[in-house]
Formats: sequence, C-alpha cells, structure tokens
Amino acid sequence: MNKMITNKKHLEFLLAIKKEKRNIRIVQLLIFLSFFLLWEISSQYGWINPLLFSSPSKISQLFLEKISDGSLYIHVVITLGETILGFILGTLFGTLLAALLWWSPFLSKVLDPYLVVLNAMPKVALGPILIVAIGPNFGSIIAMGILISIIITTLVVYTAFQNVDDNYIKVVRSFGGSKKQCFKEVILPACFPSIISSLKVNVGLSWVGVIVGEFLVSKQGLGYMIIYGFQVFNFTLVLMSLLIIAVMATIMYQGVEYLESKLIKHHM
Amino acid sequence: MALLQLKSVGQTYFSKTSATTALEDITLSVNEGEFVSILGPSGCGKSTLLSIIAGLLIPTSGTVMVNNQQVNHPHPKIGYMLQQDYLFPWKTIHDNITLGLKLRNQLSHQHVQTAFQLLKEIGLEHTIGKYPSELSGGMRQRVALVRTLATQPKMLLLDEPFSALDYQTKLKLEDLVSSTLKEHGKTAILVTHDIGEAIAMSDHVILLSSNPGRIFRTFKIPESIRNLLPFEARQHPDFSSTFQKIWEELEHIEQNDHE
Repeated sequence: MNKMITNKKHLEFLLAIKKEKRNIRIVQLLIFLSFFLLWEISSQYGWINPLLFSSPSKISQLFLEKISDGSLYIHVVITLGETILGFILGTLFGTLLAALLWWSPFLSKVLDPYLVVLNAMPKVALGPILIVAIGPNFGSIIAMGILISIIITTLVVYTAFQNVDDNYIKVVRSFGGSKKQCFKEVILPACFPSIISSLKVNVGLSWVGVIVGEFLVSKQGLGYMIIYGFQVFNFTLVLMSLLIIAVMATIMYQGVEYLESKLIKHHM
Repeated sequence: MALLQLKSVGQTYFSKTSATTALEDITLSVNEGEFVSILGPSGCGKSTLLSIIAGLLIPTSGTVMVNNQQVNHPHPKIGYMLQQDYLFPWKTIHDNITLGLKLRNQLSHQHVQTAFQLLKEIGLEHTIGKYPSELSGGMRQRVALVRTLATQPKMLLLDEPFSALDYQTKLKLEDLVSSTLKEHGKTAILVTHDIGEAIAMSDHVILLSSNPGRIFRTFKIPESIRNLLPFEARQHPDFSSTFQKIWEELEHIEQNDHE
C-alpha cells in the first residue's frame, strides 16, 4: 500500500518535471518567433529603417539566393575552417605553454608579469602588424584566431595545473615516477576538465579573432561578407552573415559540450 | 637483520622568517617482518619522518639505510600508502592497481596477474573494470592497498591510512591490512595518532614528542596480543593495560610541552 503511494508520488513528480521542461521550451520558442515576427512587421511598416535593419524575409531570400548560386558555401567553409583551426591551435599552444610554465617554476615567475600584460592587451590591435609580418592571407587570420585565445588558455590551464592535489603526485613519486610521468599520469589527466572548459571559452574567442582577421585581409569568408556588405551598404548581407555566425558558433559550442560529456565522465 | 636503519635523522624546514626543526636525532631500526607504529601528537613530524623513509624527502641531517643501502630516492622495495586512497578518478580499478607497475616499467603478464590475485584476495575482483567513484570509501582504501602491494615492496609505509574512514570500516580494514601484510611477510611502519590502533596492529610502538619531533619512548607490545588480529587484540586484557601505559606517557609529553 505504502509503496503504491510512493510510486504514485514519484510519477507525479516526474510529470511535474516534464511539464516544466515543456513550458520552458514553449516560452523559448515564443520569444524566438515573436522576435522575428516583430522584426518583420516593424520593417514592413517602416517603424525601423529597413535599409539599415533589413528584415527576416529579405535575409532569407538572400540566403536562398546565395545557396542556389553556390557562393555562400565557400565563405562559410573557409571561416569555419579558420575558426576550428584557430581554436584548436590556440588551446593546444596555450596548454603547451602552461606545461612549460609548470615544468619550470623559474620560467613561470619570470614570465608572470609579461603574461598579465599580454592578457590585458587587446590582441586584435596587433592585427595590422600580423598582416604586414605574415602577409595578407589565410596565415594571418589563423594567427589572429590563435593569438586571441592563447594567453587566456595558458593562464587558465596553468592555474589548473597548480591546483592539482599534491598527494596524487606523491603517489606517483613514491613509485619512483619521474617529473615527466607525474605530468603524464597526474597533471594532464587531472586538468582535462579545465582544458575542455577553456576550449569552450576559446570557441567564442576564435570567432572574434577570425572575423576581425577577415575584416582586415580576406577576400573570402563571413567576415569578408560583413565588411563587403558594409561597404556597399547592403545590410541584408551583413545581418545574414551575422545570423550564420551565430548558428555556427552555437553548433561548435554544443559540439565541445558533447565532447566534454564524453571525455570527462569519470573525473568527479 | 635490520631492514631499515635510521641514524640521527633530522629535518629542518626553512621559510623567509624562520627555520623550524621538525625532527631531531631520530635513530631507529626495523627488522624484517616487524610491524612498527609511530605514535605522537599532531604536528610532531610523523608524516615528515615517513616521507623521509619513503625517499620523497632528503633529510637535512643523518642517513636512512634500507638493506644497508642509503636511500636518497624512492626505493623500489618501499611502498607508501597515504591518508586517503588517492585513487586516480579517471583510471579504472585495473589501471589504478597497475599504476605502480607501469611507473616502474614492470608491466609483465606475471606482475599484472599478481596484482589481480591481490585484488581477489581482498574480495574486490568484481570491481576491476569500474571507476573509483563507484566504490565506497572502505573499498577504495582496499584498492589503494592493492596498488601499493602490486609492486611487491618489502616494506610498507602507512600514513594514517584509516583516519578518513568511519569507525566500523576502520576496524574491519585494520584486520584485513594486518592479516594481508602478515601473510605476505611484509614489514610495516604505521603512522597514527590513535593509541588503540597502534597497540592492536604493531609489535613495537615508538612514541614521538613534538617541537621538535624526537623519540620519546619505545614500547614493546606484549607477546600475548601481538599475534592476534587487531579486533581480537582490542578485547584482550593486556590491551587496556598497555593502553594505560602509553596514555600516561603521552600525557607526560603534553605536560612537557606546556612547560
């Protein structure tokens, strides 16, 4: 009897959770739809400047046009490729640099003020120098994507390295493990969650780096489309690129989150 | 023959403002197969002493010899067990218990089988593919024991290995560790602040005084309870009289401290 009541209560509880989840989805969808609807209507009726803010219908029309003539595809692929490369390399180099700092406490003390300065400095300001140094090409865009994420990755991952419980290292050392083995068996795996979470931050940062890079140099890519649209006063093009970037960035972020759930299942 | 010999070992820690002597003139020897406990108030340098014996810390003075060889790096014949299990959460039990073998480059089939055998003896062979987070505290500490024993050390250093467990688990584990070590003929040094645990498990108890840590007295545990399991030893009439004796000496140390 008692068990039946418990079961019933449990079912009610599950139902309540389900209901809340559904309500959240409904409201989210409503906000989404009313935003675009309001945008469309205010553009149609001239409440906002249609030249500047365009409208969802014009954007989707342009989108279909660009897809059918095949010119959109290449821009998206190029920007996406640059961003993925930028954030993977940024995270990789940042982690390597953090490993170097962990390896040599002397070096880490020496470099500390430089890292603080570099972290505070807006990296995009280095854009013009990069272009001249590397050339107005793919390379300097990637460099931009790396540069913008490497220092913050180094700082975050190095802090994580330092916060690993010393007793794990003691275990490895008591088995005669070397410093290299301490790093491989303890430090690196223990900091996997931190590295993945810096990957999440870097997804966003790399988009900034690559788009700015494309503003400055490229002849292709979504950043180029934005700057081109701006120059010819085609804000429909600008907004369409923006929406594509938003979707792409979200997909990448979700991808990293998926990776996270797969890789660090057992860290807690 | 003495397996372990310490000759006037001392340890001083330096900081910007002071030099603190943690240990002073520690001389002791442990024979093969013996179980020795080091007992003392907290902050008497017990753990420091264990780190020195383990070769993780080079003492500022004196020498540590294992089999008449000076120890200045972690010795393959010494195993170290910490206060908590410190199993690696990202490794399976299998990978955890073979960690020592991997680090010592001894991942031969035979050695791995020995590790499995130990896990079986301890009644946890079904956990081999699991992760530490799926095990209870007592089970984890048992796995940590297997990890330590897997490299087949002659001597085990136990740094309050039961202090993080609840009382019941602790009593059970004392029995298990004691019988496992005896069965395999291991020498052991246990660091603890628990008088009962020290008496129940060991052949000798060394009492350390604090500030700086020095050997205050050495007790021989009566033959009558030496060969009993720790849980049985606790019931034996000689247990309480020994407890009383050590208790009084500890009080003595504290009084000296206050003066």
